[in-house]
Amino acid sequence: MLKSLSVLVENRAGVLNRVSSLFARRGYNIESLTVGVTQDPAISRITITLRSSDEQINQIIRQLHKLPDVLLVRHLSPDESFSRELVFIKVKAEAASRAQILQIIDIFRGHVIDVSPTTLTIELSGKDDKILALKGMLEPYGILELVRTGPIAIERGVRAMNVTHPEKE
Amino acid sequence: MNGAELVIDFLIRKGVKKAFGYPGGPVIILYEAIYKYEFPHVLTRHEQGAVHAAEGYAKVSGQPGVCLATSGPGATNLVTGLADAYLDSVPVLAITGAVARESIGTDAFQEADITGVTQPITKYNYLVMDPEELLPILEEAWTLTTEGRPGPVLVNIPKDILSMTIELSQIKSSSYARHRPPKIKTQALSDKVYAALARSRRPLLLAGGGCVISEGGTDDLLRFVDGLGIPVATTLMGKGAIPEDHPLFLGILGMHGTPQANTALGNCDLLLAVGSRFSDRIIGDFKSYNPDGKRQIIHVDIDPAEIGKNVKADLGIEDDAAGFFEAMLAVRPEIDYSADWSAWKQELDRKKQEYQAVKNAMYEPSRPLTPQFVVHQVANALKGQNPVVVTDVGQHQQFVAQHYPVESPRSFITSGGLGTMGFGLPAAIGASAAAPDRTTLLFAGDGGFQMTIQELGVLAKLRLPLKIFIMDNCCLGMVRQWQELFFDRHYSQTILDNNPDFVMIAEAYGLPAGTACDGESLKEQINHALAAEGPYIVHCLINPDENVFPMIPAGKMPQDLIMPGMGD
Repeated sequence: MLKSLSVLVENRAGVLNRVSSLFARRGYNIESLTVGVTQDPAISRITITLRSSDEQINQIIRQLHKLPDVLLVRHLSPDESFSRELVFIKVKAEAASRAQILQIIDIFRGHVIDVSPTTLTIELSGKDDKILALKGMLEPYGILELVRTGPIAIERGVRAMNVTHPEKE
Repeated sequence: MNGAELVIDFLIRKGVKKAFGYPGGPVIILYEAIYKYEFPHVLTRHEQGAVHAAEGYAKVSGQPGVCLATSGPGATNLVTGLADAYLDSVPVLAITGAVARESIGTDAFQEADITGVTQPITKYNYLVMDPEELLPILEEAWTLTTEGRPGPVLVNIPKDILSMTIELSQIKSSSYARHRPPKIKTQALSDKVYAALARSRRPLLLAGGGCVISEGGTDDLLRFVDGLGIPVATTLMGKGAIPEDHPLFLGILGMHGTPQANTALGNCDLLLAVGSRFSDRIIGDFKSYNPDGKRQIIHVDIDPAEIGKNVKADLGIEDDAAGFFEAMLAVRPEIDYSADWSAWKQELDRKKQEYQAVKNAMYEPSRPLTPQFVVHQVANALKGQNPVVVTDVGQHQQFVAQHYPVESPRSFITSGGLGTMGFGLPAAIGASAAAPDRTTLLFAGDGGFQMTIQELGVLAKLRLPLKIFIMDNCCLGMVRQWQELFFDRHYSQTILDNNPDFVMIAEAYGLPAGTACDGESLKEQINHALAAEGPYIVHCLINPDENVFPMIPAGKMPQDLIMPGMGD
C-alpha cells in the first residue's frame, strides 16, 4: 500500500541524489518525491511516497539511516498526519464552455491563476482523490497540461519533526 | 600549509604506516607533500593495485587502508577495488585528485565525476568544494571507514584546493544531531536467546566475517562456543574466526562448504547467525530456506539494515560480535545443554569424520598436480608459523578455503562478496606490508594472476616475504567447471592455452621462481620458497580436470550438496 516517509537531511551537495539513488539501486519504487528547505536553511525535508509492505518500509528506513546526511526519518501514518499536493491544470476553455468550467472549479475550491481567450489555468491543492476527481471533470473539455508537485505531509498535533544544532543550543 | 600538506600531515597524524597510490597531473602537489614529509608511500603499477593493496593492509591490520589516485582515469581505476571493499566491509580511505573547482563540469582533461561514479559502492564519499572543510571532511571520512560496519570512503579533492594555503584557524566543523532508533542490543534479549537455545535440539552457530573484524570478537566467540558446547560453522569471510582444529568447528558452509556444515545449516532447528549478511553463497534460495517458519533464526549484526534483508529473522539483535558474545556470557544461566544436543552433535561429527576421510584421499601426489595436494603440502610445510594466507578468486580460492587451516583471525584474505579476479597479488602485497614479520602466502590462478601481474614490480621493489603459488591449470577453472556441469562442456572462452612462462616473467622482474609439476618438485620448490628471505614464486602445473567439490548448485538448498565419494 501507499506509504509516506518524511526525511530530514543536511543540505550537503548531492544529498537528493544519494537518497533517490538509494531507492533506485535497492529496487524500491518511488511514487513521488518532493524536497524543500525547512525553517533551518541548512536542513531540507524530503517527502517520499511509495508502494511497499510494512516489512519493506522498515528495511528502507534502515537503509536511509545508513546515510550520514540523513538526520531523521519518520514513517507518517495516514491517520496521524495531513498530506496535500498542489496541481496546475491548463484546460481548453472557449467562451461557450468557460462558465461551466468556472463552476466546476468553484465546487472543488480551486483557483484560476491565468486566463487566455482559449484556456484557463487552475490551481488546486488537495489529496490524490480530489485531484483525480477534478481531472475527471475537466477531461471532456480538453486538458492541455497537468503539473503535480507530489504530496508533502505533516503530523497532526504538537509532535514536530525537527533536529537540533549543537551550536545553537 | 597547503591543502596537499594538510592531507599528508593528516595521514601521518593518523599513524598511517603505508599508503598505496599512483601520481598524475592534478595530484603532483600531493606527491610534492609526500616527498617533503618523506611519507611512506608505495608506488603500485596500476591504481587497481593500490586499492587492493590498501584492502589487504586493512584486512590484516584492522586499520584503514589508504590509497591515492589522480583524477579521471586514476580515480576510475579504483572503482573495482572500492566495490570489493564495500561488499566485504573493508575500511579503505581513497583520496583522489579532481580538476580545479572552476573546471568541474566542463569535461576538462582527465575529469571524471568520481563521486557520482562511486556513490553506490562506497560507504560515503565527498567532493571537497570549500577549503575550510578539507580537514573536517578528512576526519569524518577517517572515522566513517571503521565506525560501525567498516567500509570504503572516498574523498575527492580539487587541484586548486590541494594547492592553496589553508589557515588552520579557518577550520570549522559543524554537526547536527543524527537521530537513529535506539539499537536493539543483546542485553535486552539475551534471555530470549538462551530460551531458544534451551528449546533447541539441533542448534548451529554461524560465524560470519563480522566475528573476524569485531575487536575481540574471536576470543569471545571461542569462549561462547566452549561454554555452551554449540556446533559452529563459519562463512568464507569468517574463516579463521575460530581455531580450525576445534572439535566443535564444522568448517565453512555455503556453496563450496563442507558436508557437515551444510548438513547443519540445512537441518538445524535454531540458527544463530552472528556477523553475517546471509549472502546468496551461504543460502542459495532464501524463500525455500525456512518456508514454514519452524526453524528459529536469530540474526546478530552491527548493521541493522542486514537484519531481515535476505532471510527473515525471528529475533534481530543490533550488536557487533564481541558485544553480543560478551553480553551473552555475562548472563550465562546454569544450563547444561549437552544431553539435548548430543544426538545432533554426534550426527554432525560422523559427517565430519566421513568427509575427513574423503579429504585425506585427495592429498596424494600426482602429475600434473591436484590443487588440493598443493594447498595441503604448503599448509603442512608452514604449520605453526601462522602465515597470512591470501587468495585470488576462482577454484583455487575454494581449494584454499577448504584445505588450508589458517592459524589466527585476520589471516585469511580473500575477495568474498565481489569475487574480484586480480585481487590476489596486490592484496597480498598490502597484507605483507602490514605484517612484514610474518610469511605471507598467495595462491592465485593463472587467469586472475594475469589481471594484476604488473604488481610484481612492486614486490620486486619491496622484497616482502611473500611466497606466491600460481595454480596454473591453463583455464578459467571456475567458469569451466560450470560449463562442464551445466553447459554441456561448451568451454566457451575459458581455455588459456597460451599462458606465458610465469618463471621467465618472475625472473624478468628480478624475482626468484621455479616450477612444480609433481610431488617431488613441489616439495623442492616449497623448500626454496621458504628458504628465500624475500619473495619467491612457484609455478604449479595443475590438472585442469579437477573441480571444486563439495558444491551446492546455485539456487539450491544446503542438503542438495554434491560430494563425489560420499553417501548421504
